[in-house]
Order: sequence, then C-alpha cells, then structure tokens
Amino acid sequence: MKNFSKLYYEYRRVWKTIALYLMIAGPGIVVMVADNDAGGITTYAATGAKYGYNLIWFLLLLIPIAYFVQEMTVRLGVVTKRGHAEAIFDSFGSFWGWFSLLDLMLVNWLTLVTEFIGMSAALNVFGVPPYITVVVVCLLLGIISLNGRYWTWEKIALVFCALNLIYIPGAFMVHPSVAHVLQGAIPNLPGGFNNQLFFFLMANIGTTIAPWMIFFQQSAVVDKGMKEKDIPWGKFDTFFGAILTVMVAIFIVIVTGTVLKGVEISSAAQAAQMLMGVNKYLGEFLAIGLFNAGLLGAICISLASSWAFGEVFGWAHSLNNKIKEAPWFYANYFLTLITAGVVVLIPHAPLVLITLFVQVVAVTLLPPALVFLLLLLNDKKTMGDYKNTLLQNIIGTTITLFIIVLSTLYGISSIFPNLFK
Amino acid sequence: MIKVSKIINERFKEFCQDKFGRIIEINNKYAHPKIEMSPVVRLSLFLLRAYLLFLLLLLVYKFITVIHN
Repeated sequence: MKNFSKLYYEYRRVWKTIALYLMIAGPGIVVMVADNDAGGITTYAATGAKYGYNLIWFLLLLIPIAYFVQEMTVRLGVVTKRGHAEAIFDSFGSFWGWFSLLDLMLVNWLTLVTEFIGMSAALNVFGVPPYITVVVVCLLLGIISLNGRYWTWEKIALVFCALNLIYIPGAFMVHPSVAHVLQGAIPNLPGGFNNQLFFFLMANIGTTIAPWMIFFQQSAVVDKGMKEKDIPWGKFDTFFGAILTVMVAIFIVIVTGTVLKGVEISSAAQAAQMLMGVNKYLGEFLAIGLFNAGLLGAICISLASSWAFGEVFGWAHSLNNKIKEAPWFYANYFLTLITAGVVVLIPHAPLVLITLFVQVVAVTLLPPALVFLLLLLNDKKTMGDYKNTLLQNIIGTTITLFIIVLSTLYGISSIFPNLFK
Repeated sequence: MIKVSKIINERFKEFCQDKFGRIIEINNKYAHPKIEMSPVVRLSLFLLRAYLLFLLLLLVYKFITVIHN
C-alpha cells in the first residue's frame, strides 16, 4: 500500500511537471521549428544531395549555437517585458532603433516572399495553382491570428510544428545505412576544405540563425506573459526546440543524401519532384513538409514585424487583443502578408533576385541584432540578477563573432558569386 | 508673396506634424540612449557603424560594376 501511494505521488509529480512545461512551452519550439522555413529546407536538401551524410556533425553543432542565442532573448524579454525593437530604441537611441526596425521590416517582407515561393512550389507538385495557395494561406493565417488569444495561436502553431516532423518517417522509408549516418556525426571535411564546402557551411549557418528569430521570440515571451520564475522552463523550451529543428534538418539530409546523392538541387520543390520518381510518398512527404515549413515561417515572420512596429509606435500589439482593439497591429500583419503573397503571383517577378537579396539584407541586420542582444544582457540596470555570467559572455561572444563572420561571408558571396568558386 | 510662402510653410508644417508627429514623438522619447556607455559599448557601436559602412560600400561597388557592365 505504501509503495502504491509512493508510485501515485510520483506519477502526480511527474504529470504536474509535464503539465507546467506544456503551459510554458511554445515560443522556443515555435521559433526554432519555424526556422526550418522554405529556404532552410532547400539548404538542407541541397547539403544532403551534395555531401551525403558528411555534414551531419556540423548540423549537430548548430544546436548549442541556436540555443545560446535564443536563450538570451528569453531572459531579455521576460525581464524587460519589452520586445527587441523597443529595447534597442530605449537603450541605444532612435538611430539604431529606426535602423533595426526598418531593416527588420524589409528583411521580414523579403523572407515572407520566399516563404510564399516555397509554399506555391510545394503545392504546385500536387497541381495546385499559386494563386489558390496564396489565397488559402492568407485566409488560414488570418483565421489563426484573429481569434483574439495568444494561447490559441500558439497551440495551433505547435500543431504545425508537429507536422514538421513528417521528414522523420521519410528518412526511414529510404532505409539509410545507420553506420554511415553515425559516421557523418564525426567531424570531417568531405573533399577537403574548399570554397564550395565553405559556401555550404555558411549557408547552413545563415539559415539557422535568422534576425527575425531574435525579435520574434522576445516579443512572443512578452505577449505570452512569461515571468522570471518561468525562465528555466523557457530555456528548456528553447533547448528542446533547438534539438527538434536540427533533428528535422538531419532527417532531410538523410533523405536527399541517400536518394539524391550527387544530384544538383536548386530547390526543395525540385527535390520533391525527383523523389516522387523514386517513391511517390517520399516526394509527397517532402512537398508537404516544404509547404508546412513555409507556412510556419510565414506565421512567425509576419507576427515578428507587427509586434516590432506596435511596440515602437505604442499601438496595442498583442494577439490577446481583438481586431477592434488593435487595428494597426492587424493592419500591419495583413498588409505584410498580402503584399508578399501578391509578389509571387506577378508574372516574371524577379523571384530568384529576391531570394538572393534576402541573404544580403539579412547580413545588415543580424550582426547588429546579436551585438545589441549581448550588450543588453550585460547591462546591470536592465537585467539585474539575470545579467549574463562570465561563461555566458564567453560563449555568447564566441558564437556571435562566429555567426557574424560566416553570415557576412555568405552575404558577400551572394553579391559576388564568383568569390568562393 | 511673402504672406503666401508663410502660409504654405505653415500648412506644410501642419501636414508634417500630422503625419510625422508620432515619429517625432518617438525620436524625442528615445533621443538619449539609456544604456551605460561603457568603453565596450562605445567600441561595439563604433565597430557596428564601420561594419555597416563596409557593407554599404560593397553594395555601391557592386551596383557600379553592374551598371558598367
């Protein structure tokens, strides 16, 4: 009887812990999984096709990199109760504030266009014309956002995050050699360290840490109403999200690394069509996953912009507000979404140029966003007891410098494509 | 003539105040950075400005080479 009551007590304790985590879970998982957007899926598919499993070790390295950056936004958002845009305005003045805000709007809008490109290409595999994709996506995102509760929006986003795991069964379907996959986890430089390998490493870094993620997660923890006592759970949520996102990336690499090794991949939609020739369901999984990735990216990126604008202009800017209570917030949200969708429908629109341009413009925003994050986390007046420790500073500074150097080189390679050839 | 230009100036100021008043308010609100300007912060902001200038020059160079070609 005593054992039974002990068991029951343990069961209640564990269940309460899980229930508490499920209440806090959200911003970390959503931002990390949404990071595997349409552009990210393409990068991973191309990486697998080019190098097989040999860069799995590099993807694993991205877990701590993504975690340490995003964890800082959790602490900053929870302690200051402000989004990143407002925090930059307040701490660094209006020059850096306007620079960050306007650059964020531009980068986010361009990235949204690439998400719509990905989603249209994905559904085109099933014969759905682009205009239907754009209309359906805009309607869907409108319905998700207009229900007037952050909580509901978050839980729906988490469902889409779960759908992102569709690549996992796909990877099992291709029957990869487990031994070879595990070998890929050992650091190696396939073909030696050359320009092309460097380009792929830069592309993978560039797709893992995007500027909108910093602004999104900080605003999301504020809108969610997280408190200081929730920080440990917020960190766990972020860490769990980082693992999920890299796991999905690895499974994509396994799929294309097994079936399409040696094939030049220029887009995930092209990879999906090629995979359909091998296994119909495999190709369909990749196409559905690509659509889902674009949708998740669109959900988060459009919100990141609207939150940032609302914070700075002092409008009501919460998903907990109905449309009448926060008209400018929702107006900004829908304007960004619809204009990005419409671009994809314009005949002969320079979509490839836009995709390249995103990489270039992102390079102008990511370093300042990271540097501001580090400086704010070291300000005793702002952060109090939650200021960065020495270890966090060493890790954070190293990661920041690493990301700045690689993402800058990646951006430069977009402007001067022959530089690394 | 002077009266007309004065009226135009005043109307233009009213228009700007109306449309850009909120922006001017924001600029005034955040005119003075609140972060403690330690040497690390100053150096970081200086390096950021240099970095952005470098990127801008690269873009201008690319633009010129594209036009030239």
